[in-house]
Amino acid sequence: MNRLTALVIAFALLLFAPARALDIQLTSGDWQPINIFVELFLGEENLNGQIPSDIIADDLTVSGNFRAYKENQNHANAMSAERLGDIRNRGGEYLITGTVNNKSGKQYTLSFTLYDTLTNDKIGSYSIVFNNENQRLVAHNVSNWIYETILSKAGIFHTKVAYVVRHEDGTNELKVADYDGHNRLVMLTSQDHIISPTWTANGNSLLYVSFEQNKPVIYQQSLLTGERSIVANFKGSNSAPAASPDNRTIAAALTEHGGLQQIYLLSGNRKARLRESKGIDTEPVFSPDSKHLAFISDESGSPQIYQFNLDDNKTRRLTFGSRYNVSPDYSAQGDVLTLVRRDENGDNISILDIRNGDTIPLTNTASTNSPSFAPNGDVISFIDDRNKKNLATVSVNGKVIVFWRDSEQGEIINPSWSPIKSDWF
Amino acid sequence: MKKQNFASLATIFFALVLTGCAASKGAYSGNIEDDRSGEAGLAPVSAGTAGKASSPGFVKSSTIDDERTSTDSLLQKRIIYFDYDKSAVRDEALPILHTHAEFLNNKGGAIGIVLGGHADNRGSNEYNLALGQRRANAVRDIFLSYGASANDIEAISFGEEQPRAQGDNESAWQENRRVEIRYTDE
Repeated sequence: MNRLTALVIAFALLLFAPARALDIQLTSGDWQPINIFVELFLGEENLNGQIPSDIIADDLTVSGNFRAYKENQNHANAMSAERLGDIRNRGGEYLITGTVNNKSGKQYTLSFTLYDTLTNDKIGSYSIVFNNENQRLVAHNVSNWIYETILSKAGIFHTKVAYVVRHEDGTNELKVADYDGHNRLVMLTSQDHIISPTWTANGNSLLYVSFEQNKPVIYQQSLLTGERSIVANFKGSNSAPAASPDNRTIAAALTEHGGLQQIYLLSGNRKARLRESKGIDTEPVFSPDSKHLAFISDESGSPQIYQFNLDDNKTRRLTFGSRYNVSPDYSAQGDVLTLVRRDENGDNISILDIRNGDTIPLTNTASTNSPSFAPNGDVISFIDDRNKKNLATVSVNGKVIVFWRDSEQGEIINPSWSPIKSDWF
Repeated sequence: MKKQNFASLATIFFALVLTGCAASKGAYSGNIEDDRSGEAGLAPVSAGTAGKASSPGFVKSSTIDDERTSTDSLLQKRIIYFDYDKSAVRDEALPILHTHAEFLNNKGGAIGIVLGGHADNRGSNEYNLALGQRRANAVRDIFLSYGASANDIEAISFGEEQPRAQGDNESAWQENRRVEIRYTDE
C-alpha cells in the first residue's frame, strides 16, 4: 500500500512537473531502486534553467540506482520524527532537505541535510558558498555526495560528454557538454565530417577523426587551450583513436601498410602494429587497467569483438551467436563491455560479461549505436537512430532512459563520456 | 623519397597554421552556449583554415588540359559502385579502371591518384570507414594488376561520411557504396 501511494504521488508529480531539459523515461518491469524523497529547498531560485532540488532529483534518478520523488514542502528548519515517519510510511528510505540563501549580490549559500528515514538518523549535512552561475555545479556536487555516501561509489554528476552535431546546413560541430546537456562548449566547427571523439584519460583533451584534409586524419585538441595537433596522418586512412589510461599510448586503426585497417599503438614517435589480422581490425579501446585492448575484427567473416592481452599478446574472441557486434567500451571495473549487438530485429546496445560471455540487451528499439560507458560504469550514453537529434543515456540495469537535445535541428553523432575528473572540470 | 619529404613538409605546414591560428586567439575559453549569460567566449577553432589540403606529395597544377577533358572518354567516369557488404569490383567497372590505369601509367609518376572508398550509413562509423577502405583497396589492386605503380596511388576511406545520396533506403544506400577516383592535380 505504501508503495502504491508513492507511485501515485510520483505520477502526479510527473503530470505537474515543469518543463525540463531532461526527458526521463522509466521502463516497465521489476526494479528495486532506493527511494529517496527530495524536498523543495527553502529559498531556491531557478538561476540556470532548473532549481537545485530538481537537478539533484534528476541526477539520482538518471543513475538507475535511485528513484527520486519531489516533495512540494520544506522542513529544513523543522525536521521531526513525524515527518520522517511519514516519508518512511510512503516507501521513502532517505530524505533530502535544504535551503538556499542569497548572501549578497551574486553570492549564495546552499545548505542541505540527508536523513535516513528507517533509523531517523541525520546522515550528514553541509553548506556551500557559490556564485550564481555555478548553481548547477553545486547541485551536481550535492548529488555526488549523496551518491558516494549511500552507495560508496563515485557519482558522475559533474562529468562531461563529447559529441559531434551535424546541422541541417551541413556544418559540423565538435562539442563538450555537462552529462545532462547543459553548458555546451564548441571545440571545433567544420564543413567536413568529424567522427569518433574520445577523451584522453586525464580528461584534458579530445582525440577525434576529421575529414577536413579530404581524408581521415586523427587530431588531438586540448580542452585547456583549444590548440590542436595531428596525431596520425599516414598514407591511407587514420581512424578510431583511443587513449590508454596512463595517457602514454594512443591506439588507432591505420592502413599505412597498404592493407585493411589494423590496430597500431602510437607512443611518441614510435608506432607498433598490435597484431596481423586477415580482416579489418578497428574500434580499439583500452581496459581500465591498461592490460587489455578490446576491438572489432571481421577476420571470421563478420565483425566480432575480441580482446587482446598486452602481457602475453594473445587474442580471445568474446562475441558469438550474432553476425554483427561492434563498438565495444569497457566498464569502470573492466569486467563487462557495452557494445552494439545485432539480433533478428536490429542493433541494440548490450552488456557483455567478459568472464562468462553472457550478453544482455539494454535497448529494444533495434536502431541504436555508439555506446559509451560513464566512468563509474552505472550509465551508458548512446544514439537511437529513430531520433538522431537526441543524446540518450540508459542505466546499466536498463530501467532508466534519458534524452536531451543539443538543438532542435542538429543530429548528434558518437557521444563519448569523459573520465570522472580533469584539470578543467 | 621525394614524395615523403613533401608529405612531412605538408604536415608541418598544416600544424604551423593550426598553432598560429590558436595562438592569435590567445588563451582558449570557447563559447558556452547556455546557462551562463554575458560571458563573451572566444571563437572555437575552425577546421580547414589551412585550406583544403590536396593529397600530400603531389604538386597541384592550376589547369587540366589532357584526355580527361574529353567528354566521350572513360576517364570521365569516376565512380565505381559495390554490392551491400561487398568489396568485389563488378566486371562492368573493369574497362573504366583499365583506361584510368593506362592514363596514370603514361603520366610516369607526375600525378597520382586517390581512391576514396565509401560505405552506406548502416552500422558503426568506424567499421564503415574500414569497409570503404576494403573497397578502395580492391580498386587499387586492379590498378596494380594493370601495371600502375603503388607509389602513384593512395587508397583512403571516407566511410559513411561523404554520402552522395541522403536517406535510409536501398537506392540511397546503393548510391553511397562506391569508390571515387580523384587525380591529385584536380
